[in-house]
Amino acid sequence: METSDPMGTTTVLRTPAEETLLKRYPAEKASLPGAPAVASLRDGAFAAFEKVGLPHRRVEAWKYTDLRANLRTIAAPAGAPDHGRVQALPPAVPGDGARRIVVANGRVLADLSDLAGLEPGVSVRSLADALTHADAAVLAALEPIAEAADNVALAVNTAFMSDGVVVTIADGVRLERPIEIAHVTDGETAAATAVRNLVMVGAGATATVIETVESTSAAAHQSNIVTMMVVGDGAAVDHIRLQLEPFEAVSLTTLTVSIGANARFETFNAALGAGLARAQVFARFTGAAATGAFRGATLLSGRRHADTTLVVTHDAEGCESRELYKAVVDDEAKSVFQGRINVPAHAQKTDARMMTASLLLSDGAEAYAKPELEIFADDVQCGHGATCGALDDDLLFYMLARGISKTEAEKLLIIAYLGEAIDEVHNEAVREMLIHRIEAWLGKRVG
Amino acid sequence: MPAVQETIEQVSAIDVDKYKYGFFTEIESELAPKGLNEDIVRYISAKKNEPDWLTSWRLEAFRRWQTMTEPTWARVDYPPIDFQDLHYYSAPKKTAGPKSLDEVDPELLRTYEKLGIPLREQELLAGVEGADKPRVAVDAVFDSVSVVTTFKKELAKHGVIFCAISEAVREHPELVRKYLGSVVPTTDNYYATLNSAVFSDGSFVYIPKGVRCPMELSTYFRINEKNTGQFERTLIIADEGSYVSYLEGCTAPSRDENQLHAAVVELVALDDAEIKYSTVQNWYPGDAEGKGGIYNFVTKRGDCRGRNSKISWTQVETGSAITWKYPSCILRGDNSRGEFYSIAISNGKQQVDSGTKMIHLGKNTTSKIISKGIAAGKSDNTYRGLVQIGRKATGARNFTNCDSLLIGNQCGAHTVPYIETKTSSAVVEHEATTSKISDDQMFYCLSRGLDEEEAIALIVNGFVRDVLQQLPMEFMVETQKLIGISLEGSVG
Repeated sequence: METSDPMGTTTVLRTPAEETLLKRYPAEKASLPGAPAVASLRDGAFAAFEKVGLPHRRVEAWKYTDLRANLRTIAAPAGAPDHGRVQALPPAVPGDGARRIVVANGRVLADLSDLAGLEPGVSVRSLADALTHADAAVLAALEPIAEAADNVALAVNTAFMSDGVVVTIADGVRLERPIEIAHVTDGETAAATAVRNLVMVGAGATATVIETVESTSAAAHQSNIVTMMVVGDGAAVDHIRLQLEPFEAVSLTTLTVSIGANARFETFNAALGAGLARAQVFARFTGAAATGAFRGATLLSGRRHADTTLVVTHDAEGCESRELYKAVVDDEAKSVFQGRINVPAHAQKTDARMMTASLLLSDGAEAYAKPELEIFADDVQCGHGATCGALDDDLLFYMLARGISKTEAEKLLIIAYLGEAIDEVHNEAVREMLIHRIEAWLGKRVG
Repeated sequence: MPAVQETIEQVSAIDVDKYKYGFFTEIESELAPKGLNEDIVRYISAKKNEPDWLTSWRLEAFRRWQTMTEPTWARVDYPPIDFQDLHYYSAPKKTAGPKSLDEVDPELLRTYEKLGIPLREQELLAGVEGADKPRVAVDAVFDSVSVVTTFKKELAKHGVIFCAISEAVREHPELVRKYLGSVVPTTDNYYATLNSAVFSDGSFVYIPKGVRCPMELSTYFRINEKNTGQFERTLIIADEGSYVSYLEGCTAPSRDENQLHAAVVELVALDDAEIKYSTVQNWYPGDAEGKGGIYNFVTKRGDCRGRNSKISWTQVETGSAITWKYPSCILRGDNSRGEFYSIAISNGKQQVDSGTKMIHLGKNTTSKIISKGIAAGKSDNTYRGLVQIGRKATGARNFTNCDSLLIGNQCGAHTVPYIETKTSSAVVEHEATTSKISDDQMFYCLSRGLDEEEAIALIVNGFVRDVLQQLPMEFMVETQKLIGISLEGSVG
């Protein structure tokens, strides 16, 4: 918190969480992976954090998710995971046929990962290795796109990142099996992790990347996961993130993506877990005539808080983007959506549509939406919509009149409502798993 | 698609270099010394013969203002304002004392004639333009003072009080004291606090219980003197079951310097009362290079305090170098209604950051926001709005539609809506797609042979047109043309 004294000087009061981070970095930096080049990148990122501290409600981008107030303590750095417990975790998406790479407690676990028989042109490496060897391509890829440049969650991740997965897919390669990055936090005591993944998809290549975020216990883990993707010209990439941690957890996830000309990129975020969650997407169209779809579904109960923040910049002509985020909010939970579409003057013929909807199931539930447009080009089609309300009484009545119970009717309506977003997910196993999870969630609701 | 030709022509007709009201009236003025301190605040208060309570109210605001910092969140960019380099009070010399038209400086009357504002009641009555023209009572504010208020006697017959606020402080202290600062507290924001300390003049309206105000009320603000700031304060109270329609217009001379206009407008609607507040904002916008023009930093807020009350804001914004203005409604009473209709047209290097706030507190409160921003030249036009539904506002309803249109690719249009809902039974809709205004209304219009474009214009502008036809101003015709501007090519 900043206080101004009458002399006009400003003193910064640090919260305990900030104090912990400030002490931890100098103590830990020597043991973090990376060459001197990485050390200076970390120092720069940490200095950026040190300057502003944890974001709070007076920082516009964090207006509805006050980390300074909500993040009371910072958990200890995660220790080594128990491989047995991690292995025992049932797969999050049964039957997706994915090549699973496990990142547990901020470390890539090769022994639990499916790395055999990689397709030609595909490489999967550990980020820690790449940093230790000062891989020039990896170092260059760590530079965030402009939209994410001043993001504090990303800066903290850069300072503390311990490991992650580096996936490179060569030009023209068509991946048959999805790649699944399984993030797991293991241990009975609260632990903090900072993971950075890089996914670089070459021109004309095709890939599906699924990320799952889970933990083996109900400890108050804190995960900060950043995935940076580059989608080459003419490539087609589907990205899915399933946020499944227990409600004790704090989860910050960030996706940055730059999308090349004529490419197709789609991302879907399912915010089903964590007590305090923020999913950030920063996207930039760098080549003409590409299409992008950004979608998500949020299910909230209890006193959970989930924030979806999205910035899409059309930095090229003739790109099309679709944004659709839907939330179901029960009990005293809070749902936040912030979306911004930037259209600079040269991005003529842009076609962008952003829609967000919140369904409030209880009088204590809250929804906040801020769908922004920033337009400097005159020959574009941009729209945005936002709605908020309860289930439609007429629809409920119709079903009740036909002998369907209230619980069942509500369930059908809620699944139909979320279906608009979920149906767009290409991967069938993921779609089925989502419907299954939603039904289970609805089953647990106290009518 | 880009804007249609007709729209481009209509917008260029009001480009900044075509400002018609930029003349200056040579008139001897009494100026407060430049600068701002407690003595100046006391000087203004003394000039107005104010009671002690108001002087201390001002001083308290001034002391608080000194501890505040200028807000920077709006999407506008301007060099720092030197608040010590302004005259906070300027009054034409010959208007001291009781005001009747015969005593008003003829030079002043000519100024208002030139602006198309008739101040002589008999002229209005015997107007050549036809006897069926609706009569409008006008309060003319020239720099820091109200020079004349027309039709006062006739209004008094209905119990309506319409006068300068400085006069109301003397004649109706109980009303002023009860309501002043009750909607926009002195602590509200930087410019509102400044206004509370140094406000000079503005209008006061009180409509008694059950009275439908027999004519339109209007205030015309004119900034004339250079190096001055204008700090108007308007307070309108509609008592139970009453109705009033109030119109506001403003112009200023063309000057190379920037002048500050920081107004506060407070509206109070009690049970079953209705206030319609319309503004045609035509302050000097600066030249094509962005030199000069008014900084219009205004706090306007209406409080629907009573059950079934209604406040509607209509604004046509074409002037000012920078506009920072969010006419808002606090929907406190159950079943109260708030409306906001806005057309903001920016040209040259104008910057507009405008919108509204609808704060739903009472049960079954409804609000509607229709905003059109049109940016041309090198201007920036931002809609910034808040719809907030409180926990107790069960059954609340909001509909928002904001469209932006860009003419050329050197300007910018921005939409920053905030939607905060804390009750499940509320329905909030924010829509920026022109074809989805209301399917029923659209269908009705289409089935009667209107094409889609006409139907949208009719639905979106129906209300606005209705109000603007009442405007007692010469540029009413132009304004009406603006309302007809096509939405075709709007970018959402």
